[in-house]
Amino acid sequence: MTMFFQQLVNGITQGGLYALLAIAYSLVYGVMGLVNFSTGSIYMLGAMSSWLVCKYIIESFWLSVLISFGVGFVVAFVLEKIAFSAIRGATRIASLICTIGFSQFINEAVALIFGKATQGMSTFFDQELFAFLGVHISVMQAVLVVTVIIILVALQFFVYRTRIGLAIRTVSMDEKTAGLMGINVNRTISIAFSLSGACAAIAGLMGAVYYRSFSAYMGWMPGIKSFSAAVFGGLSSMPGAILGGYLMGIIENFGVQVFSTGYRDVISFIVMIVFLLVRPQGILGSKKKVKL
Amino acid sequence: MSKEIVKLDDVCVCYGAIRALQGVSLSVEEGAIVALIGSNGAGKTTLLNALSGLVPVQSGHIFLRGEEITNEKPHIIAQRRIAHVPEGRKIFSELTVEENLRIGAYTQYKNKAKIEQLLHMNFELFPILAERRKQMGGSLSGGEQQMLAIARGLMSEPDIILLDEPSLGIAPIMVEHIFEFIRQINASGKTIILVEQNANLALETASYVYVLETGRIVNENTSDVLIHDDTIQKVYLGL
Amino acid sequence: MKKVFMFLMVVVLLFSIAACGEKTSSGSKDKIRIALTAPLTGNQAKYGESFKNTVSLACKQWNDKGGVLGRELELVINDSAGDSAQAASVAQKVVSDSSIFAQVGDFSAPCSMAAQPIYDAAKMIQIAPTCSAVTFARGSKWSFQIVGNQVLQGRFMAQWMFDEGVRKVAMLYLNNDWGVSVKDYVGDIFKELGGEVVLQEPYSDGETDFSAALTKARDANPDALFIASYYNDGAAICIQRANLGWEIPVYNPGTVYSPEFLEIGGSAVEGVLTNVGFFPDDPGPAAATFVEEYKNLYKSDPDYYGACAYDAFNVLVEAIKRAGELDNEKVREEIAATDYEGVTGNITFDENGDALKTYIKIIVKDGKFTAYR
Repeated sequence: MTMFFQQLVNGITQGGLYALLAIAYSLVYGVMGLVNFSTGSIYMLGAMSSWLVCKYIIESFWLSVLISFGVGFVVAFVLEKIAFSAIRGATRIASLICTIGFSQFINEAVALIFGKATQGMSTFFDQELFAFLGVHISVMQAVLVVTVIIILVALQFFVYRTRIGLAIRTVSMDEKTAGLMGINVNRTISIAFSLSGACAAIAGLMGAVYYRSFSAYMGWMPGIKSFSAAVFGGLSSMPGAILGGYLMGIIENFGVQVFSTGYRDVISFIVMIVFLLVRPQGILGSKKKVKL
Repeated sequence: MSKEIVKLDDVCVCYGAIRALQGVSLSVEEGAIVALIGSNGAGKTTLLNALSGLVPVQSGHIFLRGEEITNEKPHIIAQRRIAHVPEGRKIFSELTVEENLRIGAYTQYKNKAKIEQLLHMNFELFPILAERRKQMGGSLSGGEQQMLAIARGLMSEPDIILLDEPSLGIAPIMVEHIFEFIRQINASGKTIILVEQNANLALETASYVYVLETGRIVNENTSDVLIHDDTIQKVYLGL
Repeated sequence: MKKVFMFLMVVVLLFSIAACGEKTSSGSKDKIRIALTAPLTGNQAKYGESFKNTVSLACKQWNDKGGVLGRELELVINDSAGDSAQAASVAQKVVSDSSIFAQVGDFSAPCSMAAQPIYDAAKMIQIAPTCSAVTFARGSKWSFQIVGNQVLQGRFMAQWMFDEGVRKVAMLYLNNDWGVSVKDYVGDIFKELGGEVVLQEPYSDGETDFSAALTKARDANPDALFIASYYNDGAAICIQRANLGWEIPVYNPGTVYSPEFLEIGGSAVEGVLTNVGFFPDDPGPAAATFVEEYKNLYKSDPDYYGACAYDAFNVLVEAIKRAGELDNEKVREEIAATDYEGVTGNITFDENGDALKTYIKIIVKDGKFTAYR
């Protein structure tokens, strides 16, 4: 039983990171019908900026959150302006390759500047929050889980209760008609893209703090896994992406318990593939929109 | 007496090598119902799309109340009180009727009282939509969807409404209703530019009609005159 | 707009290429050219960097002394990216370049072993400094390694754990040739000694989250945790162990011996037990000079693996010197007959080409590697 709850706690913590990243995929996919494969790199940039803040300015978690958010937002904004605005309307495969190219570019640029090695990160919230019947929850885990939930709730509010949120949802449904409704489509896409970057960067910061490390290539695996999580939950649906992220985290952790760590990716991908065979649009995704 | 609100001057639109509009000029007076008729592929929809900024114009000029709007972004044109009710209705099928209407009022998002007032007005105009207000847009019949699309257009309080094939794929009985609404809306002072394949219906409804063929205007006149035109009778009315 | 996009793509590509490739300088014919292959990019890039630094240092030291056989030495540095397919294609490139005499590298066992058949066929000497896989050196008469093989090292670690009173051990290992064989040798010898292995849990390269595996290991209730990992995974495992509030002795086969392990792991790696053949805090005379020169040149401490690469290069050049000519048969025989006081201790080879080494027990104490007891 102890083991069960501990794995659940592990899964929820890890799932939160996946959920944030999955949302980042889902936001961009929604407005552009494009899978942004540089999401993992923006995750890494978020981790990098918090690492820099803690190393050179001040060891503050909340300042890092702020800076990572800003960096993710701005990087994604610039990325969208120079790369995707220019090729909007180009073939989907060109855009896709462009995102992969950028991802590579960002990773290698960071590797050139800060080195390829894994670097240590400041320690935050080191203490144990509580241990109950052998289940250990650290303050860090609690902060991570709560912060992720706050961000997800804030995002839901933003998307469903604000004007820009309405614009984002409308553009996701039908870009052309959205324009006819007086919605500035380019600006909406730009905002959604930037917001997606901010989410990915915050996830990166959380990852860096939770795993206490940063490296230029750290975004690759989380990027791929959370993409799968987003597809699992339904790429076109934000609540679906969140659900997919959490489920992925939990399935992985129990998968390790039952089988082995070596098979963790295999297990989560098998679950996903089997599920998608039955329900290709994902758990909460809608059927009509399959652009890729 | 009445003044020109929309003017097209020698407008050309190309899709790659295909020239969809080849030097179209027309003028619409405030408060009129102007219809564009012509066969499939004559360029009617392209003309509306050029007007609302959905397709780029290669040459020529488009004026709205005397100001040039050629190649402006769709949302800028929409904010200038033009509502385009696109072909195929393009309602948001995963949203409720009410949400569809609220999106129509996007340009006045901040003015909550105004939106409520507009909603009320539209529900009065289209009682069926009031009944279906919590239903998903996709669950409505074709005719109801068309009404929703028109109502959504009205939510932005436009001066000009562009209607693209409002009768397409709709039960005849509903078509009657919809054109009745169109007349009502026009009576409330809004200018209407109507694209319609059903020439009969167009000539009945509109005050002035342009006839398009392969991207050119080949004939134009008041509907009273055109309805007696031999060619029109033969080609478009099948008499 | 399309053109702008094309231009951007080209820029991106060029940067990626620039980031991946290491240039090889074309040398003149009178230089003796030796290839160094190491993972300069990818997850093991840190080790590759260390290889490059130490071997460059060794090469410079020889050249400062006037080279060998009256000729200058030149390094041809190649990047295998820690990827065995790339290691094999690099090997093809090296053997097809007739100006290259011998090869030092790769870092990891999978890469070294992927390249081995190619060097074997070309009769080119391959000294893989840190390839501790038992099957490596005996796989070809042209292959040697410096770090000592896993049977010896495994016995050392297993005996140490057993002597400390550990009777039940849980093992976490990197799922590659190296990790699997470390797990096998340490595990088998530990069982021979009378201990019990309660869990053997593999993880894939690139894994960042170990909390599930650690929870599973804790559930098996062992006396000690043995992790066969490199420094970055090792640190991550220790951190996540601390997060789980699990207090348990941690043993590692020596791969975590690097300053970054301490830096990343912080308080979580306190008390980690590992071994090393070369210890800068307590170096022999040869090592002392090496550490000093390394520090002057690179402003950091050398690590164990770099030290092995340094020795590998020196063993090779010493053999060339003794052979008196660039004949691969003769140089090979001289390497096999090596008795060299290296910075990682005295180096002799057994009949397979495995270096016979001694190990030093170390523990992380107050954020530093310290001799144990």
